[in-house]
Amino acid sequence: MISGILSISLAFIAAAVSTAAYWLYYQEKDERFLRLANTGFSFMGIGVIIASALLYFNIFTHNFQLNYVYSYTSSQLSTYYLISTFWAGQEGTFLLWLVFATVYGMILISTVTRQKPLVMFYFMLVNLFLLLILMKKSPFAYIWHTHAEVPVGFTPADGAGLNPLLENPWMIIHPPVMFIGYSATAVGFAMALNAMTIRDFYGWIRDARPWVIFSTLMLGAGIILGGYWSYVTLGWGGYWAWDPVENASLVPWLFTAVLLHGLIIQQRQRGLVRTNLFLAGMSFIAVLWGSFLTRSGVLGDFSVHSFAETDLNLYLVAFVTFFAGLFLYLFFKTFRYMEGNKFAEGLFSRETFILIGMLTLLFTGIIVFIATSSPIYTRLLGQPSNVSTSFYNTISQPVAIFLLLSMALAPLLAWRVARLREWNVILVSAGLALVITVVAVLLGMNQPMSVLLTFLALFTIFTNGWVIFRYLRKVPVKAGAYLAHAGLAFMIIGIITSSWYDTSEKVTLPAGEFVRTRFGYEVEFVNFVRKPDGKDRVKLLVKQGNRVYEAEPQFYYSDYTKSYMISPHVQVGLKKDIYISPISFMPAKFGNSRKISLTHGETQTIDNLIITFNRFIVGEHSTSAPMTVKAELTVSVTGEDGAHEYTLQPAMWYENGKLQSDRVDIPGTPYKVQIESLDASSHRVNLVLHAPAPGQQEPRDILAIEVSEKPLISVLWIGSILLLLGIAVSLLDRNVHPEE
Amino acid sequence: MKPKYIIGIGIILVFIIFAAINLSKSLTPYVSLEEAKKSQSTVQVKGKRIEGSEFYDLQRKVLMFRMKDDSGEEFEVVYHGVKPANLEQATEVVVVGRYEDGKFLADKLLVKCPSKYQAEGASS
Repeated sequence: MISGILSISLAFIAAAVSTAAYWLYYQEKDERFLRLANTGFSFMGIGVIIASALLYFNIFTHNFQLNYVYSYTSSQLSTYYLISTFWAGQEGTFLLWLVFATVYGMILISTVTRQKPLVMFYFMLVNLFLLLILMKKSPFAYIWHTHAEVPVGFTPADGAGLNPLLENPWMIIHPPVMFIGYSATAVGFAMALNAMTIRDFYGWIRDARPWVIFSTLMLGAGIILGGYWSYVTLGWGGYWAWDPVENASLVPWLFTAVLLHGLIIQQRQRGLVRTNLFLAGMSFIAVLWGSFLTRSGVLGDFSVHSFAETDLNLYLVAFVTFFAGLFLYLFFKTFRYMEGNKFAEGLFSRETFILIGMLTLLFTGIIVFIATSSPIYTRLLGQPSNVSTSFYNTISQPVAIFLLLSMALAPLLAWRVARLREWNVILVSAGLALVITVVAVLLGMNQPMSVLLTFLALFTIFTNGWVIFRYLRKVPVKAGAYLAHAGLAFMIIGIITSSWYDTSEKVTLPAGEFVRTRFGYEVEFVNFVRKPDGKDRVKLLVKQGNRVYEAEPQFYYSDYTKSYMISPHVQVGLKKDIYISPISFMPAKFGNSRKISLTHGETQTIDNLIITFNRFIVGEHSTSAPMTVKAELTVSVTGEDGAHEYTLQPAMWYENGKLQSDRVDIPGTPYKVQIESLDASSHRVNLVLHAPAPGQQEPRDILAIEVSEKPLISVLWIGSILLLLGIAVSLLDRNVHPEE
Repeated sequence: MKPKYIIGIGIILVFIIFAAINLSKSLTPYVSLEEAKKSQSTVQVKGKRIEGSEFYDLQRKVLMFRMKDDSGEEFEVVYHGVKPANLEQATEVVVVGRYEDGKFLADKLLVKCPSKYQAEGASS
């Protein structure tokens, strides 16, 4: 795809010229260099936009000659999912990053670039690296470039398709939101590098604050969307698994959140100068580290996901090393010139409590970073090891205590004055929190740690709620931080109730029978519901008192992943969610199976059945639903009330590397008919007639499912929305009161 | 030094020690069966499932099968729980647990399928 490769090359050359020109403008202060640099940036932007448009053009016109289009799309995909295939592969995600970087660059040029050209210089350095990676691994490579066995000029009939896990509305927005956040950390990073180069350690704070809040908002939103997606589609019952991929997004978020608070202290009290520079560096390095860890294949052995090994390792390592090296060099070179004020006075001042919260988050980020990287350094020492998830869960508990304590008291404390005040608010909040906690204990909350955390979270909600109430009457835009903290406390409550007090049961359901679960309600497995797109569902009936509702969780074999795909049914409720997830299916075993062989038009009689084979019906071929052949049969059943005639269509299809066929009931009899094999050329079908052996109970298909109850998980999602809303309000406040 | 700093540093130290102890406890290495036999703690063994060796007791929900570790040694795995839907498709199986009385008692069973899974991998 020569035009695509050309547009990326154009962008790279323009970016290189622009980067050099920003440096020259910084050195020479000659306006012409600034104009050249900005023009270069514009051409980079144009190249990136053309490349993106070309990629979309190829996706929508199904040009399967392109390896990217072949690997991630198919002609069956709907428009929405075709949009999301843009970022289904690594090349696309780097291109997406550059699209956002172009937007950020435009904002930087219209704000800080004239006074601080090096911000753009460093920002463009990052873009240069991304473009370099895109030249190495281009989304416009032809399929014969990547697959040596494919002849030049070959056009595959159809693409391999999108991973069915990604064919989900949440997956359309989760990756872009995540990448908006990732790419925004590069801005704060560039500002910090500029601050160190020109040794102005204070001037960058005002510029960086909105960007850092923005990154925190977007990374948070991305992580929460990812968690929600995991909960409603993956079927393992949770929203967070401490998987390396998840941790790689959590660490940058924690670092940006710490930096966000550090910048407040520096702007108000001129303290934490070194800490903030360091954090701005770490946030971006953590993003690079995450992309290396999750894209390089080093974790292949330690994640349930099998990562595709790539030849990008060297580039990614160079990327991380270069920027980490550059940052550390500047940091240690100018370390002794950074002087901050001593600011924290005594224990009960707001600064001290913000600091406690920051330390807690920073500590968590570093620990998660170290633990997730364990396969790398343990490999150097000998046996590669990973850290079990229980480690993260254990660590989270003391972390939550410190976090909640600092969030609960900080809003009531004054800046600079070390005195605990507003005793009335503290006592009333603690009292209300205590009452609700006692109710929770009476309702069955029995683990001491969860009781303590619930009390502290409620305490946080009440003190912050009080402050929000006060601000709403004066300056509502200042209430953002407290809203976010209350939201986080709500989230902690939701996490505690839904993960420590969830109950689940694995039940096996013989078809056509209500089975009682420990929760009191009964579940019946009705049948498999075949869907035209191949995403079959199982139909269940749930009887709860007098109420009966249908549940249809997905359970099907995917040729793309070569495995069974399971999606739960979630019965959402304010008090609790009921989560039903299929585990496995066992077809009935019949004691008596007889074989018959028929050609076109032939008839055979077995017991009271007269079976005629009419014709084959060959289904449409599609990639998502496997090619199906049906045999049309006429079956005449002679019973006590005379003969009845039925037309049946047992089917056979290729799936899971094997031929599969279904069993079709013959109405009014215990018999089921199934295709064993067929021969289209001689028009012959071999059938199996299943019946229970004499004395055998009628055998039935069995479905194993897991039913669980997730108490108050709605509180987690409500808290998430409050947290994000609070951060968004703080961002608004940066526009209204940038000097405070 | 002010007592505030001493308390602060003390808390941080306690935290670090707490984290370090937990980290070293929860590191689960990949080992061969040989090492799993000697080990007292939880380990994970990676290997291939031996086709057709499964036995699944539906009533008691116990799954038994034989697998072969990377060095080629065969052993029996006992797993209490429902048989995962993708066991038959798995190219590789990871069992997490302990070796006891000639059997590997698995607390966790990870099946790896020959997918080019990129779901979240692509998104970070």
